[in-house]
Amino acid sequence: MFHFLANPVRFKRAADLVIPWAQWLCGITLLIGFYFALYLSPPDYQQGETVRIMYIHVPCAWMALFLYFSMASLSAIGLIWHHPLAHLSAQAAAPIGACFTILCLATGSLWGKPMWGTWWVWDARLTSVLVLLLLYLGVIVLFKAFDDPTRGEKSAAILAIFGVINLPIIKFSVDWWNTLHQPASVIKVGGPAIHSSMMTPLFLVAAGFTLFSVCMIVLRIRALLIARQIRSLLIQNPNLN
Amino acid sequence: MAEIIEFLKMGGYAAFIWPAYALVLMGLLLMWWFSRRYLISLRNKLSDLESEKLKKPDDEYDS
Repeated sequence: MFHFLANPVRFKRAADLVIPWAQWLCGITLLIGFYFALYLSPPDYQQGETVRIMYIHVPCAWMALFLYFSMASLSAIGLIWHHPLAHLSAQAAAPIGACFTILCLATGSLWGKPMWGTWWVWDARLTSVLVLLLLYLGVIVLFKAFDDPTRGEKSAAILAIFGVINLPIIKFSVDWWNTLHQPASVIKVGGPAIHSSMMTPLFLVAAGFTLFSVCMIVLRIRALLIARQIRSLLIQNPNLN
Repeated sequence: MAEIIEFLKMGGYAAFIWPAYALVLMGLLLMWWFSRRYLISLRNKLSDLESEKLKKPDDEYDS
C-alpha cells in the first residue's frame, strides 16, 4: 500500500477517490459528536457543565501527539528509505499538528480558568505541550529555511525525530511530577476511568478530527506535489516568471 | 424556550464552553480554508507557467 502510493500519479488518483467520502464522513461524525458532547452527555458530578470542554480539548491533544508521532515516523522513513512522499507528508502534517496543539492549549486554558482559577500555569504537562508547539514551529521553519529543499527536508526530519523524546514526557508528566493537570483517565493501565456516556462523544469527536486531519494532509500533499512540479519547471525554463 | 436558555447558559459556564467550541470550529475552518487556498493558488501558478511555456518558442530559452 505504502509503495503503491509512492507514485504521485497513483496517489492523486487514490486521493480523488477517497477524499470526497472522507470529507462527508468527517462532517457527519463531527456533527453527531458535537450533538453528544453538548447535549446528550451528562454533566460531571464535580466539574459540572465545564466537562463539555473535555470533548474537544482531549481529542485536540490526541491529534497533536498523534500527528507529531506520524510526522517523526514519516521523517525517519524519508531519511532511511528515501520514500518519495515521506518528507512531503511530514511537511504537510506539520501545520495541521501545530494548529491542533494551539487549539489544545487554548481550550485547556478555557477549561483551566473556571476549574483551577487560572488561565495558565507553568506546570509539567502544560509546559511540555508548549514545547511540542515550539517543535512543530521549528520543523515548519526548517522546511522553508533553505534554498535547496532536500537540505530543508533533512534538517526538519532530524529535529522532528529528536523531538519525539518530548512525547513520553507529555504523556507521563502527570505521573512523574506534581501538576495541576488531572492524571490520565482514558488511555491508562487498568482501562478507562470514565463512563461510556462520556466516552462516546470523546471518541466520535476524535474520529472526526482524525478524518479531518487525513483530508487536510492529503490536500496539502497534493499542493506540495504541485509546488515541486513548479520548481522543476522553473529550473528547466529559467526564463519563465 | 426556558430549556433553550438553560442549555445556552451551560450551568453558568457559557463564557468558557461556547468560546472553546467556537475556537475549535474556527481553527478547523481556517485550516481547511488555508490548505485549500494554497492548493488552488499553486494550481493556478502551474497552469500559468505551463501556458507561458507553450507561448514562448524554444529558441527564446537558448538565447
